[in-house]
Amino acid sequence: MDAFSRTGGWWASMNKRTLLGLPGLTWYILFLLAPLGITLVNSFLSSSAGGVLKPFFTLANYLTILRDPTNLSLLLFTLRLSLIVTAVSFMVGYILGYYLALMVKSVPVKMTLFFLFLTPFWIETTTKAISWFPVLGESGFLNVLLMKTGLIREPISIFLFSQFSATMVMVVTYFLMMAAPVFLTLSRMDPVLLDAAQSLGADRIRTFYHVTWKLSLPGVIIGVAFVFVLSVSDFATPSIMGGVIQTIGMQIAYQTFSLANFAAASAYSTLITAITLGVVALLFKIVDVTRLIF
Amino acid sequence: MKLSLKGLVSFFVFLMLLIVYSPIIMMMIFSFNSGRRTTFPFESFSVRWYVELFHKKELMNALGSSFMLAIAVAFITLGIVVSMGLFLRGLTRGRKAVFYIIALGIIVPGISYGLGTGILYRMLNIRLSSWTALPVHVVWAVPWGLIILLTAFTPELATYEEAARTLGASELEVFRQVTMPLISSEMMAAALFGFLLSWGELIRSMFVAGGAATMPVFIYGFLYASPLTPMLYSLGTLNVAFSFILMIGVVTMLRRRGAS
Repeated sequence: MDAFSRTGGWWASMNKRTLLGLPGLTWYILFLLAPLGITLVNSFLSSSAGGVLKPFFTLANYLTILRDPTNLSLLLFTLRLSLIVTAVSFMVGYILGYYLALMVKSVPVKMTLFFLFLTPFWIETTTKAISWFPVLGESGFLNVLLMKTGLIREPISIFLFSQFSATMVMVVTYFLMMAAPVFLTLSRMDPVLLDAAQSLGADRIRTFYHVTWKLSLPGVIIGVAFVFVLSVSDFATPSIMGGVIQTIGMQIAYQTFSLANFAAASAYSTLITAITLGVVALLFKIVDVTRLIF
Repeated sequence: MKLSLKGLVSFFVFLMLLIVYSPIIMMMIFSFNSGRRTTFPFESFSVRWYVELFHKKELMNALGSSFMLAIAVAFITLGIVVSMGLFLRGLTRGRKAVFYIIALGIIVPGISYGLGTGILYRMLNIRLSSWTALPVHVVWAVPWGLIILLTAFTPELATYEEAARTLGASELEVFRQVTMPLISSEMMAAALFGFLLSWGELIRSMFVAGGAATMPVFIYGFLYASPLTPMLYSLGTLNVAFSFILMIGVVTMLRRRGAS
């Protein structure tokens, strides 16, 4: 009797466990997997004026993108911009993560610094972009400062509305996504390991490479994935800050909002989804990041 | 004087802080400019743009619906994160696969599933409002909360739960009296992330929220529709103040928990 009720209890709790996964999985199937499936299907349809889709299979949307050199260079430019943003964010973010985890000893200072960097991260995208105007503009703070100190005579116009400003604002917006996972992985590191490496005769550089760097790698991979995906997706920052530059994200927005050409927008979107998923899968192959969580 | 690595890095971090805060400080200064200019020279001090801000009815509506939306996203995110976390914890096989499905909310470019959901609404003839942004915001917020929550499931936690079970507590009692108190700060963090990620979300909302339905969508549209005045800076300044108050609240709460 006792054994029976126990088995019954086990079954019941098993079923309850499965039920726990249902709301989340249903939500993700409905609002993530289904929409992605829709863009995939749409990308093979043709779209006429007013956004009406014709239900027959065509490769035209992809062929337009891949045949037209302007579209192809748009794709390459977007990837290059995202790679630059990711690379610079990596350098800046790693230094900050390392500093917070290993160089600042006092916990309150550590936390204050982290929150000081975290708080601006929550400012809304457009506001963050336009707040750079009084800093980078032709009569902005930076130009005024440089002219007052006599370093330049004429205001420098490429500070604003250029590839430079787009890259910089994206880095300042996203480098925290790089710093935070590095900070987290390095905080978990046992400092004894560093002493051990050094007492075994490794110099500073070798200790860093063989101990610190290798242990921080999962954090680095997560950070790189975050920043890359966020910068591929962000069409607002480059369109406000970038002047004449064009990215895939801006093209998707243009095709959707101005032309109502959902088929073309879907093709662009499917392309960048495939590329980012490929990049992230490759990154996660290097290091199993779930090790950090489970 | 010997140049130490730590000194050099400290200086670099200080410089970063300066770069991050310079636009914020400039924005705060020019939000009080009496003229229409948003760059130097600063004319004179006035609060006219703040007054104007509160007279913009459309904006006030967008702010209100953004706030309600963010609250709803926070609660739903919390619910899904907790149930998903417990589900993943009990799972022996397929754990990574399920985790990666949820992680897709971060890994897939937001613009892609924003667009996809937008097209889905179009197919179903659903009229866009601020609430239609809710499903996508939750998809975006859940992975962050889940990652935070999963780190709370330590071996010690399992030991406490096992002890409670041995003493005869039911599963529900174990969860309410042992598990929940021990993961409450992670739960709070998940809800807070849900709120903040929804509050500032633009890229996805552009495709799934109505015209000027949420605050970020309104601001983006307004920027292109009308000449830039310090009004958006006064809104930004209030936004910065809001996130500071929120963060200070979080820090004090963490401290109190640490002290007790």
